[in-house]
Amino acid sequence: MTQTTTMQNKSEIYSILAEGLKTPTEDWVSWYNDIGREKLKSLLISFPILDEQEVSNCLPKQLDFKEVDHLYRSYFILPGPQRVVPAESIYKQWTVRNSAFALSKGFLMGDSAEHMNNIFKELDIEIPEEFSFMPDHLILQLELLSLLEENGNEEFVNEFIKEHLDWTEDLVAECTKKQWSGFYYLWIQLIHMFFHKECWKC
Amino acid sequence: MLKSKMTRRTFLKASAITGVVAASASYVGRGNISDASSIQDAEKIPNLCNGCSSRCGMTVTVSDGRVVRVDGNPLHSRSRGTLCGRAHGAALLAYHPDRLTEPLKKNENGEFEPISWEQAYKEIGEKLQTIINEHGPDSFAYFQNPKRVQRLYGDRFVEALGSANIFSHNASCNLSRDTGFKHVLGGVPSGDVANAKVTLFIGRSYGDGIRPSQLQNLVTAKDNGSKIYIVDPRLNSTSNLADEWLPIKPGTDLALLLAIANVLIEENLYDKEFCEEHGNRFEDFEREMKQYTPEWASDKTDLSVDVIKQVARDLGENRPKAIVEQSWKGAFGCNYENSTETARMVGLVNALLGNINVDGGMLFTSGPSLESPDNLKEPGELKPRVDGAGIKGEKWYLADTAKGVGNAVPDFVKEGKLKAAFCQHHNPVRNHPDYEVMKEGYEGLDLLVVVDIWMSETAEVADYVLPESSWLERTEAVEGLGGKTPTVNLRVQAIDKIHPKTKNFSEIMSELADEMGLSDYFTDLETENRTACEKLGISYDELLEQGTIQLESTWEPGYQGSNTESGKVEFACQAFEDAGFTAVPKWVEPKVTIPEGEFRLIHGKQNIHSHTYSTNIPKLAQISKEYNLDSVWINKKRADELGIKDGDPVIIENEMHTGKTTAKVTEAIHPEAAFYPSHYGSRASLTYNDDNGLSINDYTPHQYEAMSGAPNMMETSVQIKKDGA
Repeated sequence: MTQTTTMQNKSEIYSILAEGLKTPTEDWVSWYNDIGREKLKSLLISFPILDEQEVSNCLPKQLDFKEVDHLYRSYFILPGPQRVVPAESIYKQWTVRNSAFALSKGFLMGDSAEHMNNIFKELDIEIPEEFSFMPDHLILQLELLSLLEENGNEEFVNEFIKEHLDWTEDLVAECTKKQWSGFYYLWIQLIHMFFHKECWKC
Repeated sequence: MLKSKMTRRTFLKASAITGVVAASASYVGRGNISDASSIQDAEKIPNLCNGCSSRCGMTVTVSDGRVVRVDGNPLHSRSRGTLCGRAHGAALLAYHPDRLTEPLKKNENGEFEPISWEQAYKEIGEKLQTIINEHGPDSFAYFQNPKRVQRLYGDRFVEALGSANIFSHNASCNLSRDTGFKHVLGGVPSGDVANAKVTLFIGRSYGDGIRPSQLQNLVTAKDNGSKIYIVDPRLNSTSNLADEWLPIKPGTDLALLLAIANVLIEENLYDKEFCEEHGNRFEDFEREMKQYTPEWASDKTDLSVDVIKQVARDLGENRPKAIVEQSWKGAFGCNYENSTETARMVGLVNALLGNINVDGGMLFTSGPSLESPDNLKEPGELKPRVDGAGIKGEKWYLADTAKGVGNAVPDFVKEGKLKAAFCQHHNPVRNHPDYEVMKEGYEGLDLLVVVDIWMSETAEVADYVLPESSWLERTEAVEGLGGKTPTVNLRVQAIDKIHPKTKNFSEIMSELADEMGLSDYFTDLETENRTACEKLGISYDELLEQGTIQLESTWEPGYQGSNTESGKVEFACQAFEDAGFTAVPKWVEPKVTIPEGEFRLIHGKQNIHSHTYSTNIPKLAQISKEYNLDSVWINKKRADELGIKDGDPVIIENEMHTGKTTAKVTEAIHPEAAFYPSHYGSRASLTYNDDNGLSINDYTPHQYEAMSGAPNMMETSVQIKKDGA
């Protein structure tokens, strides 16, 4: 694979992973069942560091829209015992500033969020209003990576991942603690696997 | 049809040149954020703490739109420049991941789904109007935490609809206390602890339920050589400032007070002139107290005769600068069948000491009078309260109407008297005893609307949940505080709303009022605030700047009469006789007699937590875990008999509930008592409160104190055994 192809593949992977975390639609579920699963799988296993079986295990063969929609609402939207907010700030020390709250953890809008806002501003990128309180949401981070790969800025990508995507293990642990199962649990594990195995360095 | 292309719903909106920039942009790491100099441009904004209900004045430091520190406001009479740990724990609530972000409606499957504000107002307005049309205005109630913004927008909304059913959260703090004080002294005074020569605390612990100014007063008192007695079945966190700890048998404080009155009268250590001049039927009281000798009280309280006499003499000999502190929830806020009688006796022992409204005594001060614009429509005649509080001939005639018998709501629902309710800044399903009864009761309402920042146990059973801005994100109503130096105070919005679809309570109620055609009763908050300041002759802009304005003192020393039926101190109270009790306070046994081998489960505050919500603040939850704060205190001798060692896992059980915790084995608690803090055991689905201990309310049945209707929160017995034994 040429470097350009690799970057295009990564861009595509990040984009698909981000789409999978958005409110599910019947169209997206059909696309996943008909095309998406195989496409993502082939993109991922183009990185020799990833094991085909491991990848396959994280990609259910057929999704049912109603089931996925129900899980999505329970896991991401509605207040309840299984809700998880996949935003970096929650999993990191809130601030390293000279602040009374320097050692706090578990809150939105920490230093990670502030830094993400700086990056978006620097790149002249607008984020939707509903993400104004969590610019370090995993969806936005994946979309940004997709954009950067698409534009060939590998150096930026590497630095960004080192600083901003080192929390996915804690995210998986949180989902496990909250007894997630099914598609989204696997999807989060897949995302973690991609970063943990340092595919982004390949 | 085979979909070959994924339809992307890209959230990031990149400008036309972003591609070019992104290709060449250099990554600037987050190291720049750690630069401490970047908080030099920080703004300081006044606010009122929401860590508990005391609302201490604070200054919030905000840098780049984020909170970086909080400090006590030196002008504010409750904080006087300092804050407690709760304030620091609660300061980041705005950023909590459990925040509600949009209105929710429960669907036919019992699941919540997001809806728009427009839909919420329309549906709630229509449903409420239908209920009122069918069942009358008195089928509607409001449960609140009584601050001025709640009064202006919540109470007024209920009253505009013709209902008087306003229930305060404080009913589960001190309904008995306030009922007792109201009838004997006409209100609750504040002990001038700093200037008193002797202070007797009954169950109240300034070191646990912290209000910084009260702790400062206690330290001043100690520095001045004041004698401090702590009456509490357990050695609480204030005891290191005390001279003596009196480990009283739980539920018998009334006996101690009756005996103190006996000694004061028998040994002529009371203010005879005051009692005869300002007391109503003092001679009846004098006669009745004869039977309550220290010997009699010693048997009830497990305190020695000598100790009882010593306390009484210390108080009497140092009168009028000697006080029995008024407490909050403590021992007699709402805990025992005899709590209202205990409160009456606290008031009357203070009257015997002639300390009413004198320096070093019990002070009655008033706050500033805050008014609304003149052009607002006033509510008409209200239907009688559903609980009958303040209504002669009704069961709870004596109960303080400012609080109401909130504990009885499930019964009113069952009886078909209540059909709809709004609840804000209050969590009655968890905060009253017997979760199952409360849950069923609130679920039984045809319409329950909860306004909150996250899901509480009450929100979980609601039909609609409306997301409120958190305390640092909102400006509230100007409010006053009494004291020798009265103040006017304001909570000022310190940070932008984190969640754009949340709203301030004042906005929510005004907009719903518009929907229901009640807009004439309301105006916007800024107009309310400017009007209140203008009528008081102070500058609103200055208040916005400072958060607190101190006013000139209007306090006059000396007894000014009492706001009671007779206008005097009611040593004998006709209202009690009318309600079927005795005019003069008398000994009332606790409702529950503890069987041999069992414990009375008592509770109280810990100095890092408030109510049950703060266990969902990660840093405070972590402190609880690291210091084993959610342990049950049991007496060493009793623990030895049960084979329990300090730190052992134990089971607490009774016919209502079984739960596991760890034992704190100590000599610092009366053998009959088991103390468990009141903050734990939340059942709401929140991020940081899973596995967070037990709730005292799970062990206490749904019941009422006969006089006030208070929930008798320590009238329960439990068994404790070693886990696995």
